[in-house]
Amino acid sequence: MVLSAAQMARMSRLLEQALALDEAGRKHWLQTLSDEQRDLEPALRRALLSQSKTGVEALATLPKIDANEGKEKFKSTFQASAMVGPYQLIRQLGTGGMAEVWLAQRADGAYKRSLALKLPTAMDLRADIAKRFARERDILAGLEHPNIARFYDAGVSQEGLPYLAMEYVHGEPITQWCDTHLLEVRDRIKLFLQVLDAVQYAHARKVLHRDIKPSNILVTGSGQARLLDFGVAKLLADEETQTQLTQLYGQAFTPEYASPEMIRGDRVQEASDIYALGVVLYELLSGSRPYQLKTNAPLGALEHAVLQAQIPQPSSQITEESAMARATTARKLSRQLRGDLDAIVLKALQRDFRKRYLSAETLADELQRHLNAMPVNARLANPIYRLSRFVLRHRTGVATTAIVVMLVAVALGYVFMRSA
Amino acid sequence: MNQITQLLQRLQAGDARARDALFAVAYEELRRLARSRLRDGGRNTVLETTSLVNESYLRFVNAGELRAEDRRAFFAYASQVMRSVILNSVRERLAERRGAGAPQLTLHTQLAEALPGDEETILKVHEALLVLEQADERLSKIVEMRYFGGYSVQEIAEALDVTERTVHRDWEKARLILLEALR
Repeated sequence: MVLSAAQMARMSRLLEQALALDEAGRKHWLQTLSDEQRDLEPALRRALLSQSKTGVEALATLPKIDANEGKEKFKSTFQASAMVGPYQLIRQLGTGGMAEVWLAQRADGAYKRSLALKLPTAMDLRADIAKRFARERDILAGLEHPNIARFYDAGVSQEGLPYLAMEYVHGEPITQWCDTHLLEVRDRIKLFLQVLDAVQYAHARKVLHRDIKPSNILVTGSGQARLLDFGVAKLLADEETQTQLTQLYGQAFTPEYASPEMIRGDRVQEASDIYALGVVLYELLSGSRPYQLKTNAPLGALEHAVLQAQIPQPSSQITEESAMARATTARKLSRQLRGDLDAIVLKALQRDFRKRYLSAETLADELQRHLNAMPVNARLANPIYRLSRFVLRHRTGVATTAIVVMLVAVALGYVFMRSA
Repeated sequence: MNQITQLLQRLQAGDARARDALFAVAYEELRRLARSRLRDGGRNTVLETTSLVNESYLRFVNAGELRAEDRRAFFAYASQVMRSVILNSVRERLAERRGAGAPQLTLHTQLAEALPGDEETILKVHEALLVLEQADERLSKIVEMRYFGGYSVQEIAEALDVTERTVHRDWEKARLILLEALR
């Protein structure tokens, strides 16, 4: 029955009395309702009847809405062959929380090459966006490196749509590519060195990536790593209304590659990119991420883990499956990572950014030293370690020297004994 | 420093205006979250959006160690946002279905009532809740938190600063009143 607000209020008061009674009491209570309350009697009767029935509690949760129904509604805001600025859209490449990416080409035929057009959809359009784009555009377009996807242009169409035009890279995320190609640890490190070279190049030009993660590091068919979206996170971040959290949520949902300072909302700097690189390296080497969370853990749990949790050594996080993807066994893989690589990765992942590697270059040098069996700085404090590296490097030399030393000692002993 | 952290700090320092500003910022965040998640398609259900928004909210709240009163206001506000996001989504779905040439069952009121779709149920709960709000604000708030927000009894008790027993009793009353109004 249709209930007015006044009736609801009365019903509430009456139910308060009735619910305190047992079944027999309720029956009696219903019969002794005053005349002013008579209008509610059928409603109360039904309510008390349904209340005494056990079973699924009505209204406990929202009904589940059919999953497929709303699907088309959230398809692209754009259509193929539509124009955005000087570009014509060809087909959609993907969507993220913040932007759609379309394959596009210059409509005026200035160049035939197709490119990736990023269309930020969740961005607050501000009056100064064109100015800001113009300011950053030249810096980003100046980045020319074989391992960085070229940034061509950023602008705002006549309709007020912001767009970013970038080189279209056909490739696979680095972690996935390494796994499908069963890349060994050494080859993974070599590939990762390409990434570090690109990051070093950009950092030297005062450009931070801010959003390094495997899906932004593609490996092309020829086995070359290409970093996407260098500096784009900053371009899309509106200093006034766009918060760090928006970036994290909007782009990835899982800020698993974000550094502690980024999660705290402190200043992002070179060391923040180093941290993200550390997470990627951790994953490349061990097949796991530094933070082990259940898939349905609340978002806050990850944040908490990044800020608080002790990160386990990569060598301790190996499964038989991840070893197989590295063309080895779990035992061997664990041994390969133990020591140098554990220390290097954990140094890149130091919570305090001052304790991390100072630059992508020093991290690269360190990995190179590991490949050459030179002592790595992350473990230099240990003299026994230094000696063991020396021995490893100069196996024959050390063995020869040892024999010579021994012979000399024996000879000297003989001479002393004779003269005594 | 990011805006939310800053606002949380100002709030902790006792700046009451920061609360409104924080809510305003969070509102955009919540809507954007819900939208982008829905846009991803696939497994989108109203229910998931709710839990998504819920989680993100808890995240904001946990982030700043808010004072109890601010935390309470925050929780209440969050369920309000969720309700509106869900309703918008439901309305759009309904409009879409009708636009797609589906027979308009609602022309025949009785038939529509006999066979309410899930979307219709949600809309009706919302409408009945508007009336209940005038009768008893706390009851309607509890339903909003439970039904639209997906909060547990404990969370509701904390948010409204009442005992769990009170929440149980009020929820029972509200539920019976709404079921009657939905008949």
